[in-house]
Amino acid sequence: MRGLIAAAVFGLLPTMSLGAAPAPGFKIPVAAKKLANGLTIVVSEDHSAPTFGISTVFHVGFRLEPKGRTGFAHLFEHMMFEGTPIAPKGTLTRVIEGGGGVLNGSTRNDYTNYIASAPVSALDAILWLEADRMKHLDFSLKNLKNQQEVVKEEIRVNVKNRPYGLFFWTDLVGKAFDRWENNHDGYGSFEDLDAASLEDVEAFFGSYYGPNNAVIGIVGDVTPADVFAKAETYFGALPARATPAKAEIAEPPNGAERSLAQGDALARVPAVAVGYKVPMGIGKDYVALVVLGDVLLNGDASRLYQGLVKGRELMLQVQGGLNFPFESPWRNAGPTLLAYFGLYKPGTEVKAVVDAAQAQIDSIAASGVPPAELARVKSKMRADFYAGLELPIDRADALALAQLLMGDGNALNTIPVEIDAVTVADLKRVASKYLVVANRTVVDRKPAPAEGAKKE
Amino acid sequence: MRKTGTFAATLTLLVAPWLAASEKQPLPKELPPFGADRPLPVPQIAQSTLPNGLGIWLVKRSGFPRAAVVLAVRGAGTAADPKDAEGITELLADTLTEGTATRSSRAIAEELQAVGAELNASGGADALYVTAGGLGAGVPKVLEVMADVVRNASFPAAEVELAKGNALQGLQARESTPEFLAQKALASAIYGEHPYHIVAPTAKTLEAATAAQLKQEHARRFQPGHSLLVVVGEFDAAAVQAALTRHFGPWRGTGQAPADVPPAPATPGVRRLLVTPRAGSVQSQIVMGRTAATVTDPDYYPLLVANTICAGSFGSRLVENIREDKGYTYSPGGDLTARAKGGLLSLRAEVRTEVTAATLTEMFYELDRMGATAPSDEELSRAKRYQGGLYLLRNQIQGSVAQTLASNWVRGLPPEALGEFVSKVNAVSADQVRAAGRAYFPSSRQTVVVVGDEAPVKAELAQFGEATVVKP
Repeated sequence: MRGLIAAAVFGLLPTMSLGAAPAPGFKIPVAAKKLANGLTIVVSEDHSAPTFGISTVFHVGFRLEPKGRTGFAHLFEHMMFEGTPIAPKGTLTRVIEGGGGVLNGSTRNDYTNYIASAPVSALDAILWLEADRMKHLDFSLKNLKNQQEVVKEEIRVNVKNRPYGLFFWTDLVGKAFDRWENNHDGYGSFEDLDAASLEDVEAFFGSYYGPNNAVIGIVGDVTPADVFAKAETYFGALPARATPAKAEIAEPPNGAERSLAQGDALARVPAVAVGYKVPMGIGKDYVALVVLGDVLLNGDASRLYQGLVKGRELMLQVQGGLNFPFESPWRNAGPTLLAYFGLYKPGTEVKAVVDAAQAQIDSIAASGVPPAELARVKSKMRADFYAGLELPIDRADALALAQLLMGDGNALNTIPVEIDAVTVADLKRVASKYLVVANRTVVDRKPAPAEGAKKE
Repeated sequence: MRKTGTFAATLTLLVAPWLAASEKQPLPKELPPFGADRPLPVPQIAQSTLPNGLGIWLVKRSGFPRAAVVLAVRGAGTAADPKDAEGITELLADTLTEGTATRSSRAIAEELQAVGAELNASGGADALYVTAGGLGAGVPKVLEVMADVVRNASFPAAEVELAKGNALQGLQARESTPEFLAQKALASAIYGEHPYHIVAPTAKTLEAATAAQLKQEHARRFQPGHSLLVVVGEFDAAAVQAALTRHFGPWRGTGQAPADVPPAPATPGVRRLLVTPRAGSVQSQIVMGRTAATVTDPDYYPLLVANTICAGSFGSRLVENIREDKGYTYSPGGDLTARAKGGLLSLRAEVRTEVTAATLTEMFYELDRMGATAPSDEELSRAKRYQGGLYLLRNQIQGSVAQTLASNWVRGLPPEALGEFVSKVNAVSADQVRAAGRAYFPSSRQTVVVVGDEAPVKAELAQFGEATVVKP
């Protein structure tokens, strides 16, 4: 092993004493360039293996899909794999897997990403393929019909044929938020998915998939200068496209508690999902809420695990955090929830569960947490943050999204510093400001008789 | 977890990159060719053995200040479960980290949280694994706590009662998912009485479990001479060595170690159709499979490549057929699971109920095609490069390298196996793939399980023969 990652770039690593959080100092190299057409490229060198990861992200997700077309942003994501006029369906997978690579894509509230990882010998071929599908698509009815069926099967697998059916996402946001942009089902209704037309596909591509609405992150055995030159070669000629004005998505916290009771024909154990609204643009409070989310919910030492799974023995399991159930609080650019979800014990009242969790929160609002506990949580957060960046494909994705959603790929280096700066007083402040009963939404999901409760 | 790797002698790269026009469809003229391949990384494994027999493999990595630790205890997995306590391994693993003579479960969680880590234990068929990942500087603390758990786990009565109750209700929750029901039905049909049929504890096992029984299982299974400890990542080698000697050095085995597991039974030469009813299902969960070669078998690499071509990658024949052409399903696939005493080849798809028969027809077709014709040059090259690329990808995850080294060791492979992976994949010929297709893929020798809405599923299956109903 050549260990190149390390030596030159990451040599700032301080010596750490046992049990203490490492001081900030570990840096990920970041170089960015914006092409004349508005496409931004962010690069991070890592020569530890002859591979690279790439993520092409577009600034559109569930929130901005057309009204009357729930699920369209995700359906469109599938269409990006269906070929172009000169690289027909199948070419993308053939070339990337034939180059020793893997590929995928996903759609979230504020973005859609297309990721790949391969030996660096495939860099030019993959850049060409990404540029080709940013330029044009094969708008074919046959492919659209095919992917409408595939997406409906995806929804059957994850929602309609599954106990709990992602209610901790779709039903919780449906109840908690008021604006359509924030509260509709991002997976979409079958009716809306079936209604999607080729015109819709073409219009969405034209509006949101131009180079000026995208960022590409590349991490691996490359140099920024080389990647910037290749980006100019493959993407430089693509024209910028007019992007529609963004809809208003801001929402204040709620002034009265909301709740919903549901039956689930496939479930045999009751479950609950609880969310507190977190508005956008709250600056330092957001970071404090991320840390508070981890104090409450990150791992076996967390407050809700120790308090409700152990301690009161009310729940079988619990998970959550800020921006749950999505991957990370750092991949969000609008109002969201600090949420938790778990199965609770048959025979227990949901009120007992939610009250016990609220008591944990209220105690932090009133008395904070011991400084040693906060230090431990920060250590865990740092280790987890780095784990999320370990693979170049994940680091490329995080880099591209930091650039797209926060305007700066270097946020990957400042986030750990911001986390370290959070104080006990910050936790008290945000707990009492946002994690209050009036701003809480509770969805209770109980096993229901098999007849009819599950709709196709 | 599938294969990952590093280590070993100098590796030349993957097979020559394929990028010629194929028989199927020409590639775009403008597409740039692949560049030259660069050499694969070759990390070093520092191997040693403590006087008590515990094997130690250390792999230093620079980069993120993290490390992964895996302790593999061979022979301590579900295959060692007593006849009257099938699946007890899961409860043993769940309660292992819930207290020692000197630490409460909360103290364990908090001490490790302070170094960014968490301790997990899980049972496979052939071994029990205790794992942790966290900040690199915390490895000595992780080893201290892990050794305490391994040597002095106390199974406090209150923790055992709580874990039993939660496991019983957790079992109910798992039984409501189609994939769990399918996995259970397939394993029982394929393995019969062989211990590999165990996929989860039974309710009876959980109800009867006691702290004394867990203590006894712990004493019997945790033997230093049957264990390997792997650390991968950024750590201080001297501090780690000192912690190993201090905390794992005094570990002594007690009791009689579990007996060896016999080889898994051969698959019957007939197709079997099984239906597991699940009320309210809107899809059929289809799984089919049979016993296959394990990692030490010469057939293993041809079989791996064959599976990649048939169903084991996004560009595979099955995905192209039933997803990209027919739109029957979202995420079909094929898996090759290699345990110490036998492998399992399986195919899966979740489809809307009304296309169950149509999907089975295509799955049988794709299986039979593997033995009927050899793969094209493009398919063969793509499958090999894909596997080579996966090797590189997994090699960049500390936890994956540690886990693969450990599970290779459990299955009787030497440390070099990791580094030899790519060259063994590349040596596979088209004829070997077809031979593997003939030996393992015929649809007439698969056990087929469909979990779904009983009446319509039975109607869909009728054309293929008599289906046996297996109650969950």
